[in-house]
Amino acid sequence: MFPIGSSKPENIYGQGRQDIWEHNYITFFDAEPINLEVFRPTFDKIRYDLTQDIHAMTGRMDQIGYFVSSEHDSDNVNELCSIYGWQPLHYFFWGWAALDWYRGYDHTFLIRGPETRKITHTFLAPNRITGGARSHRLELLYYIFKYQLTDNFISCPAVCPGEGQPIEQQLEPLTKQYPDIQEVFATQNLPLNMPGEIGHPMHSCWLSLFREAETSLLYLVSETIAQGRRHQLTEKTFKPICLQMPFIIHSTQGSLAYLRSYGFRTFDTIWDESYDTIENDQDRIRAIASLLRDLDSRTLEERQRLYQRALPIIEHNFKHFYSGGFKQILWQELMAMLDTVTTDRPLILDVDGPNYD
Amino acid sequence: MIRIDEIYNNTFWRWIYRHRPELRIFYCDPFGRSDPESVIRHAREEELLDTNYVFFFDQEPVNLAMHQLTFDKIRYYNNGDIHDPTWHLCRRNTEQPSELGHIVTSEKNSDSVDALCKEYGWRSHYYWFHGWAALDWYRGYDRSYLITEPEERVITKTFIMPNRIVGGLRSHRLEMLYYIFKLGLMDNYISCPEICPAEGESVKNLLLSGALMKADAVEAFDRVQLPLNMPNEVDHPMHSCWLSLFDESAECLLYLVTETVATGRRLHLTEKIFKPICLRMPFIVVGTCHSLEYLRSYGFKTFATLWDESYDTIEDDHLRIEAIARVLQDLDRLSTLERQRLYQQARSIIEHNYHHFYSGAFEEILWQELQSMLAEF
Repeated sequence: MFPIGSSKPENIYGQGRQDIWEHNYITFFDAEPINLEVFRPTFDKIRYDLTQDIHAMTGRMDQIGYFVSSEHDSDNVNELCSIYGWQPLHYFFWGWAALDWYRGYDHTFLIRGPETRKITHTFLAPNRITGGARSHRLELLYYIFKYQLTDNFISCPAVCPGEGQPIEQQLEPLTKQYPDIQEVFATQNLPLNMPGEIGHPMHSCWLSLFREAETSLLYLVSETIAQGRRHQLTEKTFKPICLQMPFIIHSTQGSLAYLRSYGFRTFDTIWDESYDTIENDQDRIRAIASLLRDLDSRTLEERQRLYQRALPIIEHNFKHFYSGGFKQILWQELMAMLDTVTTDRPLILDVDGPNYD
Repeated sequence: MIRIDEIYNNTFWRWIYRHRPELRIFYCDPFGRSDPESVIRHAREEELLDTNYVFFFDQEPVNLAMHQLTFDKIRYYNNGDIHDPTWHLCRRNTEQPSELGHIVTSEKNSDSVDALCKEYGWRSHYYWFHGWAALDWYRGYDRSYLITEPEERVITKTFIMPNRIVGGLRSHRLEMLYYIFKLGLMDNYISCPEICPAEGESVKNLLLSGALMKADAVEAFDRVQLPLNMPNEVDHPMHSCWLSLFDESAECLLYLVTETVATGRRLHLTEKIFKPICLRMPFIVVGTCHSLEYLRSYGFKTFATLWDESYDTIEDDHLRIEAIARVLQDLDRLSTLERQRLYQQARSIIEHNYHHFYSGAFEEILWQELQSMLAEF
């Protein structure tokens, strides 16, 4: 798909060779989470239009085609692949994106060193798109507002910049689960902006909010995906790592474990991270909210002490990101993914020797 | 790594803002511009904090005549306050600092920088801007499959030599080409425009106007039909911030780097020198005297064990180019097998340089250097 972030049929970009019999194909759909309903026309175009010749020539109507996503242990990917007969492959696209986008911030003087920070707030929680598949952000904001945790750095639009819908409208479907959600949101004067920010600018490919970050105990990452059985972390998770902060990740079950599998450390020695093991999406949000409420009830001295205790983990994560450790893990993973593809290379291609390409 | 287009804002200005709040800074933006209109300023004038200033002129080589208006603009901007002793006394109740004005360049041991500082009374500072630019621009090519592995290469040519701007202050490229054509070394990958894309002047006119001061210059260039393009290239595209010519490079024994600056006493290497390093190739540099030694001081290795690198010590700019031509001629006379063997012999150096560039070791050297430079303030 091109450019990054696009997912419509007209964004499909194909590369192939005319000089070799193309016996198979790979679809890289790695920049967006899989949503079978929304993206069905795209998948259909790949399967029933663009690769029809390959299916016809091989005489195989299914069980060929690779599908590469940035989603791990995913019901969505499994369902998709069972429908189209594709073999799922995975690599952490967003890890690579973050390494590229957040490069060089370790050689800037934009943010105070961790050892000199003075913690005055509990968390920093930027929110931009809140509608559609991102409504889990509204659920967490509901608790934040209800528990009056608003003396923190929180942003929330009045009109979702992604969907163009007013928040009140987006709250409607949530009233069944949270009957008082409209009232709770009515206590806030939306939009909530970060200091010095107008609107809710897209900052995916930069770090920002340096002043706010250096005075907050932790970064509350409200990930793109927070529902269902799947692991899909994006560049957002790497913002606190690069800003040298602890974090709580509001995402799917097992997200912290997934992140740890890439060599990062999380904060279970500092606070309760059992929220990561809770399967029910709503219960997990509630657990995160309780944790935030608990941390927010601490005195400034206690929060400062918590931050100090987190320093070895913060330093480990920062170094792991910037010193090449994480990159090496990603590279091994990517090559292993490519190796899978080479295993079914037909012998016929070896006729001209190894330099066929 | 530093995001090179943010180096002034995120690295220098932020450091100065925090550690030397009385320094006003100037730099040119966007990248590559050096005219007075491109000057950007960050200052804390409203707080009456500024007592001194620093001009980051680190992208382009210093040319006093060409950039005089820009330097004048900086100097005279500060006339009304920083350069006025009574301003310091009346507005801040302090003495005027004894040393006023700093200039940061990417040029070392440079007569041009010395002359500039003498003219304006500035103090010079140095860090290698283009080293940082190359780290940023050529990042990630070590995770691509664009470059043929050294052990798989079949060497069929002696050198690759891309040339774009050849007029004005880049006429050393024409001088190098003159020898290449004269010595009949054209069976290599060489590009040369018919009309210089920067000066808008034809190569023929440049030669006729005596750019090379060689009686047979026109005759030598008549041996080729300009423009010379790389395979599949049209015109002479600007490729500073990317690697390119992968297939051609993989066939060549070495990369002939025709640097931006190749005359006078100064050390000024640009991103061009890193192209062969990232493409995993040996190289010969048409730069100023001691350019190879300068590169080695950053932890890279050069190829003195494989061919004569004494050209690097020749002070006379013309004789140095002539010496390079002789090395090229010798290498071009070798059989294909001998060149292949030479490339194999170079592999340990190639691997060292590639690893030094991509493993973070070079970056660490640059970071120490940059921090030391900032500490001078």
